[in-house]
Amino acid sequence: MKTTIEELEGKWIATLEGELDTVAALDVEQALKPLMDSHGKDVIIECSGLEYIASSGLRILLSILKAAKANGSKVILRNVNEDIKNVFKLTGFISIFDFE
Amino acid sequence: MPDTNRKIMQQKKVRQWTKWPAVIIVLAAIFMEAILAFQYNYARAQLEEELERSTLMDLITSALRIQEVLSKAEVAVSNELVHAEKQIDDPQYMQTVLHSLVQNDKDNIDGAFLAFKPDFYPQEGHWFEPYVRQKDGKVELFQMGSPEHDYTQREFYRMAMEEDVPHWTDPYWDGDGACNWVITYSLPIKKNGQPVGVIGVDLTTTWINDVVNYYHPHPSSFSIVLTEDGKFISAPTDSVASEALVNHIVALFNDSAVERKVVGVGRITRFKFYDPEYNEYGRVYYASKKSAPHWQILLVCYDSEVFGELVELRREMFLWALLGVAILTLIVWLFRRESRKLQESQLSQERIGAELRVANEIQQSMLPHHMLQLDDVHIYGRLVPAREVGGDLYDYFVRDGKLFFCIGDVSGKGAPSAMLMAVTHSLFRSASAHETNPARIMQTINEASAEGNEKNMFVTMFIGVLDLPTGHLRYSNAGHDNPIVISNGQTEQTGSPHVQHLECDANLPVGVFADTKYTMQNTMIEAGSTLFLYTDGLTEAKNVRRELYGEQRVMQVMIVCASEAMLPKQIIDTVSDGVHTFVGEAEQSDDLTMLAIRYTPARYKSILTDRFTLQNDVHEVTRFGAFIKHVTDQLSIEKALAGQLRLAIEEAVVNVINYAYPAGTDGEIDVHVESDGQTLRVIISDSGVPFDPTVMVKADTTLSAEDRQIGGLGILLVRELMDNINYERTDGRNVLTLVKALHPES
Repeated sequence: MKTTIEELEGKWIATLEGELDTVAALDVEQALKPLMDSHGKDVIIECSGLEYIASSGLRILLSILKAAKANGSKVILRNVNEDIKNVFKLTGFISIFDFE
Repeated sequence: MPDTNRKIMQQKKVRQWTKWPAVIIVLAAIFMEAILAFQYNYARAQLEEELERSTLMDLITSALRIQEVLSKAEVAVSNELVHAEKQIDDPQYMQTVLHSLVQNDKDNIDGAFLAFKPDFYPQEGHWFEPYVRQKDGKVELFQMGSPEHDYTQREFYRMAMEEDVPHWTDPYWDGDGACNWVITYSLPIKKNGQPVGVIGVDLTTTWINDVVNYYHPHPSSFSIVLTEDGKFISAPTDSVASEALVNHIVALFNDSAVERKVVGVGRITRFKFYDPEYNEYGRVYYASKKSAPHWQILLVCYDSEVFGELVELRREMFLWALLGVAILTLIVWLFRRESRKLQESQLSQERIGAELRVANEIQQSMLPHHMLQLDDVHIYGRLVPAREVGGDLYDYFVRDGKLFFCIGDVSGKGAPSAMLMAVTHSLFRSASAHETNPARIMQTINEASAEGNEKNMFVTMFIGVLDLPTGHLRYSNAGHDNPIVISNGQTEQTGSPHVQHLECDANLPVGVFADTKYTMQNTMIEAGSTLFLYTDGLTEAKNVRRELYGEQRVMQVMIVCASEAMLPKQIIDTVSDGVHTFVGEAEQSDDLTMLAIRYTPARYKSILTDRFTLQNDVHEVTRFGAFIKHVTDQLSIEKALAGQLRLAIEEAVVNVINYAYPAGTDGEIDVHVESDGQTLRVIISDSGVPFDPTVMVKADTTLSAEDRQIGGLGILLVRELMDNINYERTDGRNVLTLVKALHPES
């Protein structure tokens, strides 16, 4: 599981590649810590390389979203594949995140 | 429905019947009036006859009395005539007879006289008419004859002389003599057989009125006496009848155009008159004296006096009849009111009946379908309420691979029990949503029911939770009839299936005390066995002799069902037939409920099995993930489905890792995977603390981001992604079974 984050044009861009299972979630949580306080910057998470996500991963995304909303900034998920979209539907996350 | 038709017909009849009263009253009134009219006419005819009889008597009496007086005068004159004729040559002596006449009958005879042919007595002169009169007690003699008083022209003289008959004159005013209205009776005096003079008397007429009006049956009646020609002889005084009235009546009498009728056996004639002064109708009866003079005596009567009482009576009878009709009307009105009340109560009863039927339909719809047939269980239930709605209940549903079922009996029957039944039913559903221990389910229901249970109604109840994969039955009994188990195994002695009651603790019924503790019991149900549950409506069904069906008979029927290996529906039909035959004509006394559950677990024919063991460490997940992938590859499961399976299983295992063993302790988690080609079964077991993930609350997916909780996602995903999830605690181990169909129908 590969996680990268960078600031670009006043936004946070995070890229997730690989399988975000329960084990991987431990590291990913650490890696995405900066996003927990985005200082009003929108967060874009690139998911084109994301093949799998477990509930631990969903929890991380939810935490980022809650923090961002508190600052008034948005969280946008990019290029989420169909299987993962299905998981988002099952958990109701489909209606709380913005997708591109 | 013939029942409804009969009720409609009854209603129609009642409505028709309420129209009749008006007709009845009218007919009764007409009938009464007809009877009264008939009676009246008859009575009137009778009175008229009576009147004619009394009138006849009255007239006859009057005539007789008149005749008596006249006769007296006639006889007196006749007697004196003899004397006079003897003294015919001595005119002076002859005059003495006149004194006799006057004195003998002082009352009526006013004057007596002789009147001779002119110059019969040359010594007396041309005229000789001696007249003796009473005046003021003194008797006076006059000579009446004179050129001014030519008696030869007078009626009394001429009639006697020329006609040679005794004669009564009509009344005339005698100015010279009596100075009053008189009638004169005269007889011829004869000498040598030839009339030479007349002897006679004058009578006043006042006595006539006294005689004829001496007494009448009716106070206002009066009599008038007329000559043959209809001229006055006597009339009543002004105080009895006014002159105008008398004249009017006499005028009518003399008017030939007036309608008359002969009555009284042909002896009296009658005509009617109208008195304008008193505004009264009356009638006049009259007849002639038989002997001369043939005076006509009239008797005048007023209708009101004759028929007055009858009219009064009629009026009174009419009022009584009116009262009678009024009472009849009152009775009829009361009857109508009662029948209308009856109608209304009938209608409201029907309305209540209709509502209860709807309530029954609702109740029936709340029950689960009477039949359920799954792969591993076959259920058939029947509930027959004693009234439109009943207080019995049964329910069953499958959740997470377990069959939750219950049967209950609310004390009493009818609508109140039905309502408590509905409440208990929903309590059962809500309590079993997150609980698999039947004793705890019972407790929840009990606490909620005992609260606010003012009517002290209670429910006997049996709750069972059958784990379908293993056949492990957990149950709790709250005062209900023990179910019967027909086990698949065979007894040694008879070789037929074993039939016996399930052994149950005697817990209190639900709703009595809020703090009642309920016990849970366990047993294993063998494949092919049947559970038979019932309420006491079965064992306490009564026949006409008030005998109970009883436990023994139920057992006997059960044994028969067992020996014939009957399916649930057949069992229930057989028991129903048995109890209906027994009850016969008697009314169903209590709700009758039966539930038959047959356990037929399918053997899993796996084509692939594999195992994996991991420690309760999250890091093991990676290795575990590889194992799952290996399995899904072996089964050629396509990528998306494989991903779902991986996710679900990972979430389940992670849950176990997190909760099964106390923090800090090591433990093993066993994962057993098998597939029959159609489904994939994953059995995750551990020996940790009892932990049932199926009772964990799913996350609420409808909440907004701010409100979303962090937890609950794992179990949500497991439930959503897997087709079946089942948890059992067996032999000190948590056993979680997940099942997914590999080729779902689209």
